[in-house]
Order: sequence, then structure tokens, then C-alpha cells
Amino acid sequence: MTNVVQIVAVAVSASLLVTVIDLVHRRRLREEYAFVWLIGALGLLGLAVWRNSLDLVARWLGVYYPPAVLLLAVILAVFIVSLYFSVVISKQRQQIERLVEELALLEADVRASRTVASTNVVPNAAGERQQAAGDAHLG
Amino acid sequence: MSDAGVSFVVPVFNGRRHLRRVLAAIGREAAGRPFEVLVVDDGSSDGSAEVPLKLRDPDLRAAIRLMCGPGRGAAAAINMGIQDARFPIVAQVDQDVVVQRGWLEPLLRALDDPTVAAAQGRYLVPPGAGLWSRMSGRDLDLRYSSLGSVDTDHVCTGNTIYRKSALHLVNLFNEQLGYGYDNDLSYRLRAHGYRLVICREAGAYHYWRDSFAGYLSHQFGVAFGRLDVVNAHPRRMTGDAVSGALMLLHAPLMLAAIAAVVLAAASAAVGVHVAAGVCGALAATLLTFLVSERCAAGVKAWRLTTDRAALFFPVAHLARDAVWAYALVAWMWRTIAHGGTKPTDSMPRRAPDVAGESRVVDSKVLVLIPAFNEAENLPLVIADLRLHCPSADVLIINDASTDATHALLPGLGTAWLTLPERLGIGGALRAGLKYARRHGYNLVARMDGDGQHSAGDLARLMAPVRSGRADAASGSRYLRGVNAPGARGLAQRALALCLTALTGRTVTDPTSGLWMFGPRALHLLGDHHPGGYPEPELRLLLARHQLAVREVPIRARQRHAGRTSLTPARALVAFARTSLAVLVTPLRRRLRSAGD
Repeated sequence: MTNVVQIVAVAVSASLLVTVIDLVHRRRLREEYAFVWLIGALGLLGLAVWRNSLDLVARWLGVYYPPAVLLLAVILAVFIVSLYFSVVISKQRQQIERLVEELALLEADVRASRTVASTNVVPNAAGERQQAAGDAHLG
Repeated sequence: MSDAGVSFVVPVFNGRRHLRRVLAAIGREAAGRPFEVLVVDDGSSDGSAEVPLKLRDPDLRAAIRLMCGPGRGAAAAINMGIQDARFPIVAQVDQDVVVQRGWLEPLLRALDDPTVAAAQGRYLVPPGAGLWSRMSGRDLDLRYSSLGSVDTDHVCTGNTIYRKSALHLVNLFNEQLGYGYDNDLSYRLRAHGYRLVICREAGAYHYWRDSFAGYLSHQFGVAFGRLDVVNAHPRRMTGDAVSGALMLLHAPLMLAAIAAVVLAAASAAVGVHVAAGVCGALAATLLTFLVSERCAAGVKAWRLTTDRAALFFPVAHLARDAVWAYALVAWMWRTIAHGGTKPTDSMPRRAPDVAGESRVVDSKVLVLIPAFNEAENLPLVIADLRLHCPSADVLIINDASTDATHALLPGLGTAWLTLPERLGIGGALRAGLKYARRHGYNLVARMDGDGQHSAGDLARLMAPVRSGRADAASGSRYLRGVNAPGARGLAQRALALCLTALTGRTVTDPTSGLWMFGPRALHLLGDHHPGGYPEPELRLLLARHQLAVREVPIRARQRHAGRTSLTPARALVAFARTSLAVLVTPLRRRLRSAGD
């Protein structure tokens, strides 16, 4: 029975590890965010292979029910990961704000140069027309 | 002269500790004659500016004018006070000088003689003063006791009355000097044929910085300033009646002694024992001379004043001489390496970026109007601006409005930016400030697009920023004592108190949306204008970077049309954000703006 659990656990953790690596391989997941998941998957794999470690840690911490340690570790890990993502989102938000600001400034620049260009075109066209008329007159 | 009006000028920089006593003593001395007290607060961060407002004596409170200093050192602050003085006599009293009963009369009598330009009182050591204060005081006692008559060639500032016409004749204090500007002025007054006198009857307590470190940092400033003065008046190399040649000689002799010790140690280390012996002997001779000279002075001062603190002269003044030697090296280094000294060099407590030209010469003004769905109000706001500020350029920042604003913009005759996504006021202002920076504007105003601000008020906000007295000005709806009603008013006042305590400057309207920014504020905010409901955080950010904000009273109006975006739920969010900013901003590192 325990062997079956262990086999399932190892299989699940290993497939998680493979999935993460595959996502990186297919460029669906960037390396800097993949590390968080790789470490998580490796940790799970380690626990699945060496099950006694959970009992050891529980005894060392003075926890009577070893699976509680697992839950605690998972909750902590999820907490850290979401904090990390909040930081990433904050940074991205700042980048987006900068981009929006720059885009607005750029749009104003483009608008201004277009206005200058269009006001320049009109007298030139008139000048060409005048020159053409002069040529005709000479001819 | 005895019934003449007197203008007291008190420059203040973080002088809260003694300021109440200083002002009360002035009020007591001046009672019964026309007087005014010009308190020039030069950007204190310890709440000094509130002291005058809390004085009990109503006559004194009425006589005080609180001015916002230019932030360029004490000399500039004093000059600002003198320029605004109404009366022919200027009494310059420092923030740590408490004038005693009967101080003013003898000084005024001395100025009855029209050839006298300035009369200085006598510094007294306050009762209960510590060792360092007593020693500084006894040193002065000794130096002044050697003056033969009342006439002198140097009067200190801080305890002195001046004839205002004489000050204007010599173009006031030299603002380029950090310390020593009083020596410089004294020499220039004498060169114009004026007499300077000392009145021993006019006593004033001087509260020195009573610690070893305070004493030494004061001495560094004194020495540095003296070098600037000697540089400007080479003939004063040998000092004056109060600081004689022997005293000034201490600095180079100490420097020579230190150099000899270093050389002796180096020679001994290399193994050249003859050189080590010669240098060691030289150092010993110099130090013995300095110590014995100070021993004699200490004993003399002890006999004169019966204060045994004077017996510490040899020890304390040896440390002083070492600081003077350091100042000599620092001064020469700055002069050679940086091509001259700045008034801030002798005053390490000031941030270097406060110095320099702060008057805004270029008068081009850009008015930023962040707008989100204000299509109904914008035309009225623009019309108001065209009427009251016809020369100002206007930039509307359309914060991804969903109403007719976008279609309206080309017809308004102003420049505009359109943000493709909504960023809120902070982002809109950052974009606008960047636009201002890239198009070379030095003065930028911000007003709301809902018509609650009058463009007429904007013109009044411009004055303190343009004159360089503040880096930013903010319109306050409550400066005249009328507060917003209800819970909102209460929250506003609580926030205002909190910001006043944290920034050290009086804040009455923490959420005002009418602002004027000068060049330094512009430089900082183009990259770092806070977001969300940014106004309270803006105050903290500016204070954190030592930029001076001045409040100007304005009238508040109802918005023309539409509804405010501030619902109760949003107000709660804003409150939470602001509280966090209040906690975090003072702890943040100072930002460097990247520039463009």
C-alpha cells in the first residue's frame, strides 16, 4: 500500500518537473519564473523518494502529525510564490505606466511634426504652381 | 535714536530649542516702542516655524512676520530680513541668543552718533551652562577684555544692532560666505569710514552647542569662514581686534606640527633616524609652544572670570587647533580642486543642492490639467485661464476619458496628451511633467479640470516659486482658518496635523490640487510623482528631498458640472494608501531622478 502511494507521489512530482522543463523548452515559461516551480517540484520529488524525511523534520520541530508539516511547507511556499508574483506585477505595472506615458508623449510629438509637415507642404505646392505658371509664360 | 523703531531680524534653521525664549526676550526688550520681528525660517525641519504662532504675548505675535528663507545660508536669510525691514534700525539676533533686560537702550544710545554703523552687545554665559559653553564664553570674555576702548574693527552678528542705511550702502552681507560674513561686513563698513562699537552693558545669553562634537563642528565652520574672509580681504591676514594674529597663527602652526609628526613617524619607519629626530623635535617644540600659550591664556581667563572652565583651554584648544588645521587643508583642497568655495562648505549640515542660483529667470509657464471625463468643464477652465493667465501655455492630459473629451481637445487651442490607458492623476502628471521638461519649461502649474480652481489664484501661487523662495507652492483652501465641514473636514485636519509633524512645515490643506512647481521639484517629479491620490504623499516626497513648499491661500469653488470621482469607498482606499505612504516615505532612500 505504502509502495503504491510512493510510486504515485514520485510519478506526479516527476511529471510536474518534466512539465516545467517542457514549458521552458517551448518558451511558454521564462527561466526566471521557472526556477520557483523547479525548486518546488524538486522538493516534492525529494519528499516522495525519501519519505522518512517528513517524519524526521516533524520530530525535530516537535509536530505530532507529520503530514501537518507538509501542509505548512506547502502553504509557506505558496505564500512566498504569490508574494514574488506581486512584486513582479508591481514592476510590470510601473513599466506599463512608463510606456503609456511615453506613448502619449510620442503621439503628441508625431502630431506636432505632422502639423508642421502639412503647413510646409502648402506653400511649397503653391510655389511649384507659380513656377510652372512662370515657365509656361516663358514658353 | 532712543525712540526709533527697530526691526529685529532672526534667521532660523532648526532652532526650535531656544526660539521661544529668544523671541520672548525680544518682545520684552522692544515693548513700548515701534518694532517688528522678522523671523526668516530657512527651511527648518524641526517645526521651528510654528514657535512664533504659539507665543502667548499677543503684541509680540502681532509684531512677528514669519518669512520663508531662500535656503542659501544664514547670510542670505539675514539679507532677506533686512530688505523687508520697515524701521531704520536693524537688530540682528540669532536663534540661540537671549537678550537680557536693558540690552537695547545702550546699543541705541551708541547709534546716536551718526558715524557709528553697528553696536554689538556682550555675550554672557547662561547660568547652568555646560563645560563646553563655559569655555567658549570665557574665551570670548578674554578676547574682548583686551579691547582698549569701545571701538573695534569687528562686530559679530547675532547680538548686534545695525544702521540700516549703512547696511544698504555696503550692499548687505556677502551671501557667498557661510561663516565669517560678519567679519566681511565689519571690514567693509570700516572701509566706508563707519565706526563699530561694543557695549559691555548690553548683555545677551548665548546658548552654544554644548558638546565636544558640537564645539568642534562649530570651530570647523569658524575656521573655514575665516579663510574665505582672509581670501576676500588679504590685508586681514593678521586678524582683527577680537581675533588677533597669535590666535590665527594657531592653525598653520598646528598643521606644521601634525606634518612634522607624520614625517617623523615615516622617517623612523624607513630607518632615517636623523630626519626622524629633527622632525620629532620640531613637532615637540611647536606643540609645546601652542600648549604653553593656551595655558597662559587659560590662567588669565580664570583670573578674569573666576571660572575654572578656562583652565581647560590647553586641552580643548589643542583639539580646536587640530580642527582648524583640518579646515585649512579642506579649504585649500576645495579652492584648488573645485575652483572656489561655496557658502555651504563651512556648514556641513546643509544639503549641497540647496545652494546656488534659485531664482527662476525664465518665466515660461506650463499649466497641466489632468482630465478624466471633464468634457463639460474643460472649455470653461480654459476660458478662465485665457482670461487670467494669457501668457501661460496649457497642456491637457486626457487620462483615457470615455466621454467627448477626445473629440473636444483639438478645438480648445491648447496642447494635449492622450493616455491610451487610464493611469490616474499621478501617471497623468508624470507624463505632463516629462513633457514640460523636454520642452524646456522651468515653471509648471497643475490645476484640476473640474473648474474648482480659479486661474486668478494660480497667478498668486507663482510669486514664491519665481522668486526662488520655495521650490513648490500649493494653494490652500483652509489657510484663512475656515475648514471643510463634517467628517471630511475632520479627516482633512487630522491628515494636515500629521503631515505638519512629519514635514516640519505647516500644512493646512493636504489634498489641494492647485500647485506650482519650480525647476528642482520639476526635475524630481517628472520621474517620481506619486500615484493614487497623490497629494499627501507629494508633500512627504518633497520634504524628504528638502524641497521647500509654500502654501498660498485660495478660494475653493464648486465643480462646474458632473460628479467628483471620490466616493466613500474610494476615500477609504485613499486613506489607507495615504497612511501607508506616511509611514513609508520618510524611511525611503532619496531618489535620484534620471533626467532625460
